Amino acid sequence: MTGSSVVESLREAAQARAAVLGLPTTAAEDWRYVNVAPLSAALPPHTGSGSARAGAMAVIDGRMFPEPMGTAPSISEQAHVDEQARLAAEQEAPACWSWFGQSHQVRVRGQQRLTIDHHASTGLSGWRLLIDIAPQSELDLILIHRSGIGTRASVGIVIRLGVGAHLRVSEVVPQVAGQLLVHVDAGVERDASLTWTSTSRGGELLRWRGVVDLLGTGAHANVSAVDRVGERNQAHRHLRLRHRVGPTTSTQVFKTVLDGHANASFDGLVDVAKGADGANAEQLSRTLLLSSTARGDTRPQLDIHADEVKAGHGATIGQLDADELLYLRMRGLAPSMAKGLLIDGFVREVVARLPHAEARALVEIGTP
Amino acid sequence: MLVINDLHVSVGEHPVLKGLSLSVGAGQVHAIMGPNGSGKTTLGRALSGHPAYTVTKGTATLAGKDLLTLEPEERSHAGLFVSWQYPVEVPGVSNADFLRLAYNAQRKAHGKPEVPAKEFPALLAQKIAEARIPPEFGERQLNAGMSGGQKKRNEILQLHMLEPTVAILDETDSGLDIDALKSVGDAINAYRRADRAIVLITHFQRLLDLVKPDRVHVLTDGRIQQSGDVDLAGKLERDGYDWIVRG
Repeated sequence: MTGSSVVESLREAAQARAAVLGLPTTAAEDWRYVNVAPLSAALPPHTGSGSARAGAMAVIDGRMFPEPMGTAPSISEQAHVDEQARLAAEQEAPACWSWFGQSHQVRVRGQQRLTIDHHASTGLSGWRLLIDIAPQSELDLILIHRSGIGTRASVGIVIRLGVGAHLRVSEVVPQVAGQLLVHVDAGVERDASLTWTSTSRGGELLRWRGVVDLLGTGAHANVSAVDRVGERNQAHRHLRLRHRVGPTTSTQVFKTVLDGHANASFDGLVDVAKGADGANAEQLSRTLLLSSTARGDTRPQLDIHADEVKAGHGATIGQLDADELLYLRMRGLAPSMAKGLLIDGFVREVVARLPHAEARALVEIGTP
Repeated sequence: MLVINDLHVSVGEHPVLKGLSLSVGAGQVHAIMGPNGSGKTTLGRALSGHPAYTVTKGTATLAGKDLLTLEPEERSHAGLFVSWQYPVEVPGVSNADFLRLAYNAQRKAHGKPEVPAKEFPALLAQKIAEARIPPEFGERQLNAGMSGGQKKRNEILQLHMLEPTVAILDETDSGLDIDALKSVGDAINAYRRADRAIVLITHFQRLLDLVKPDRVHVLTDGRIQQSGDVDLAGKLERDGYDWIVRG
């Protein structure tokens, strides 16, 4: 089977699978907080070889990836088999849409740096990235999503971190987008680490879903996100962090600032498998409500099946702290400036975690 | 400079200050001492515009300006600085950003041009030296992760940066080790000037050994019950407050 037909077969299978699954509804537990109405709008799909570009562009060490008018998808035969299996098990139609476009495989040996500037400019688009990081290798990934009004982009990213490998991701959605659906599936082997930090301003519908499996002893995952959402935009984070063995460690920090009629949620599960003794998991979710018409939901969960585990979680939803606000005003700051500074401070904790200075520079912090 | 006359303040339905009068002239340092619950902290909070403290009667002016009708930030612009007994932590906000914004807010309120961000570090370094605190304070978050003593010293940095005409320092000496107390004392003395006034609220004479007050007042049951020179602080240290409370 040629490279083109490999992807074509996956694309056809994905369309069939999506049709079977149908659009998600709030009756589905994983979508209960999401306003799914935008998904019902009909959007023109990308078709045929035109989907090869799908508004996506990647650059590896100065080289564009894929090639500007790329033809053959660069996924291996094994990756194809894995993708078929993954698609067959897929439970969400929006995730299936990521198979509609091009699929690429990145194999990392040694130390590499990859920047993906993802543009969704029209209609429905999807793409998948398979990242295979060899043992003792490292990848720094900067992932930027830009999308226009009236677009729907589905992105699937599959990550395999070999023994002792490290992946550091800065993901930035710098401007209000259309609909963006990101699906991350990561497997972290022994002594490997995944650091994923994401920031967004939300969009007509932004939903980020992650499944991270800590597969080997000493594996570590650090997942953080901050969404600053206003108007009628949405941002939803859905994470399943699974400690398959122990000792393994994970930390999560999810923050949200909501204004206007925004709607956002955090649904996070730490799952420690039976026998994964020595697992250590921390999860924190904080939501700042600036408007009485905004809606924020948070659902932190621990599911522990091992005996020797350290696991903690905390969740807060509230307004700006009155004492902090007064303290700043007593030093001469006008209420609007004091509020802005406190919001920036709230956001900055996560922005500062972005591993790459270029990504941090993309995130607007309002302090003049 | 600071003139308070017959001030009555309630917290909720509970009257705390019951007719406090105090006048602090330019260039003077006054100390207010008193037992727990006598109203010392309430005085600072009421003057700074804390919404939980309701002024039910009386007046308070700073250089002739009625403080009590102003918003908290306007009282700051008028020249009032009130330190907090337990300074609030503001995580995520850097000291440097906060101080620059606060400094420029003061300048803007007085019709002066703001100091550009690129010029501010030099000014900050100068103020850090004046406040006798370690240089790394500028890079820290606003009170977050600081010990109690470090927070107090951070407020002394704010004092030097904002240059108020009247500073009310609420138990600034609590939580300080011996060396830090000496540094804070030096920083307060460095702040003294003929056109500034300082009110020290304290429980102990040790700060007053470093910063010599012109007047010492004893606040009990919501009023100034006794005033005197620095020797009064020594008597309180020896004999406590009973002799005043009993009349």
